Amino acid sequence: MSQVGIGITTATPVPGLPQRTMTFISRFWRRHPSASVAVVILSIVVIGTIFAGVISPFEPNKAYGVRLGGLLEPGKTFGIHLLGTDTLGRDLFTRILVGGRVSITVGLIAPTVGITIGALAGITGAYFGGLTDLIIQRLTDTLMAIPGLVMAMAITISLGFNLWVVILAIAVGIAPYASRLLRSHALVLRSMQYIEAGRAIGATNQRIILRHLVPNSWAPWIVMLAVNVGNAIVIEASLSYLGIGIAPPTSSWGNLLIRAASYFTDNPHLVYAPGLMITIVVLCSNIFGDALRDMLDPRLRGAD
Amino acid sequence: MWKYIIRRLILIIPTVFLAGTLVFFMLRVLPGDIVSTLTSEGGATNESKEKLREELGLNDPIVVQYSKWLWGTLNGNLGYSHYQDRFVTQIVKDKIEATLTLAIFAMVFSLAIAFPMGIISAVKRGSWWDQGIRIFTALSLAVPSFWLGILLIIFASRVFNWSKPVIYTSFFADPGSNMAQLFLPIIATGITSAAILSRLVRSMMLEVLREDYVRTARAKGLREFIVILRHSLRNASIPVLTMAGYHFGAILSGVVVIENVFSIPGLGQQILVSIFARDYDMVVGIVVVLTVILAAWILIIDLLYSVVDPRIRYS
Repeated sequence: MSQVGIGITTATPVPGLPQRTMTFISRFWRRHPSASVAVVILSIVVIGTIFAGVISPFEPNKAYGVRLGGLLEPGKTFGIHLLGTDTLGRDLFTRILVGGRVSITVGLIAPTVGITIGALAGITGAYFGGLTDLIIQRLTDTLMAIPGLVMAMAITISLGFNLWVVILAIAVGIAPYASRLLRSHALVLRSMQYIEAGRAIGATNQRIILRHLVPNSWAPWIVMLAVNVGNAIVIEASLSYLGIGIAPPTSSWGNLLIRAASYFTDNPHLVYAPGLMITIVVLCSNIFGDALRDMLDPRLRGAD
Repeated sequence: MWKYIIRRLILIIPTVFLAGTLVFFMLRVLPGDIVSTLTSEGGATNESKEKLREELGLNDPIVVQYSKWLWGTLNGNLGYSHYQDRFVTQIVKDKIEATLTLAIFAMVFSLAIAFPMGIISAVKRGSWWDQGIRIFTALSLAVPSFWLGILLIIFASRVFNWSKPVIYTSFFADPGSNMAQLFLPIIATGITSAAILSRLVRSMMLEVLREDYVRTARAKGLREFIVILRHSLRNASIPVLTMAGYHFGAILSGVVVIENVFSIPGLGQQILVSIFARDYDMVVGIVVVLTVILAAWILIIDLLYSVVDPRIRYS
């Protein structure tokens, strides 16, 4: 119990911190009203997907007997299918909520992994220069030379159609761009005096990279992340739509659309609902990303 | 100039080989091979499967397979598609036209809307035009191209009674029906790039319009039209061109998806078929070809710099 007590004491707010957070939020709201709305919408979607099991009485992968039911179709035994049912009689609303988990997980983790790998490679190359830099740059060029989706296809096809492989596939496509950006950033940092000072007092290369270069590169890192979330969501949806991303019965906003167009005449919502969800989430995350970039990268302020 | 082009062309070769090699080895990781696809109808004994593998060279050590592929590719032979029983080079020759036509027109389309939108948005900054264009670009960036493709197909079939043509008509044989066929795919592929490029045009123009020489030009009494098109746009275009060069990779990715949505018989449709058939040579061959196309496009764009900005000289 005493340990818990210690945990609580350290967690009690440092004086001034909550107020700073509050000021930050209110300033963000005043400067970027549309981005704030975007954050609210994103939060609603995230909460909806997390609590899909609580919100909806239906199970995502279970057939309920009403095949291709329209909007607000009453369930055969209980409840109402808000968005109707698909070809197998599964509840579309539930499948969209659950599919959102895939999109949001991929959207957050894939760019994080890709940018981290790319950033470490780019920063390491910039720091050491010479042969290391040359090898990393050639590898970067090679990865950039292959159209991203084709590269992702090759990865999912060789490693399997599941969430982690899709994340890896998208990360590999993002990494070279992060490597380029962070390399040029680190080239500037390298000539800073504090790096020289670090070297002078005998800090190891590893220490200089991880303790000095990496923490000072967080702004471009965050900006790249914010810009790539929407990108990753769209790539995941495209892969799943082509049948080489997340494999059914696990639902994803991409694979919900696979044969939806064939039923458009009677059930247009099968086409509209998943696509709209992708569009809304990507739109909101782009708007939020732009606002974040605006705040973190003052050089770009007002340019966009 | 020629020296520069030749040097750049030589630099393309190692990149393409590295890309091909990467995918070559990646595909060798996956279980199952072309033999299991070819014999999937049953009736094949394990013995005959093994014999087939031996014949096709699939049992050779990977180093041997790789050197065979490397030697062949160096000689312009991308291998043999056992699934379609034809040379990869032949299949590529048949399919490349649709892909290239779609990709190039999508690029042209996106540039053709990006420039006017970006210019209007920058010149009339803060106006309703600007707001409208920014909403349009934000939406275009968010809509996944394959979904837009599906919606366009549905819309066109509803309103114009349009249906996906079964046979692909070459642009050179009949430009009219080719465009009728590719019109919607071009929009679906190009709209994202149009949005990205028009944002870039806008921010570049805003930057250039603040320059002293623009003020000078206005002070001289030049017409606004000329100030914008001749003095500002030229200087704002270089970064946009660079982006258009590298962005072609994204267009090619888009083409791969859109070809499948609109059933256009190009490399994108082929690569998906070949992937499911485990037809390695074909997949690697298409990757190599797409890489070459992308590299060539970037080179062409780099050469265009000197047209836009005569100060740039190549040596």
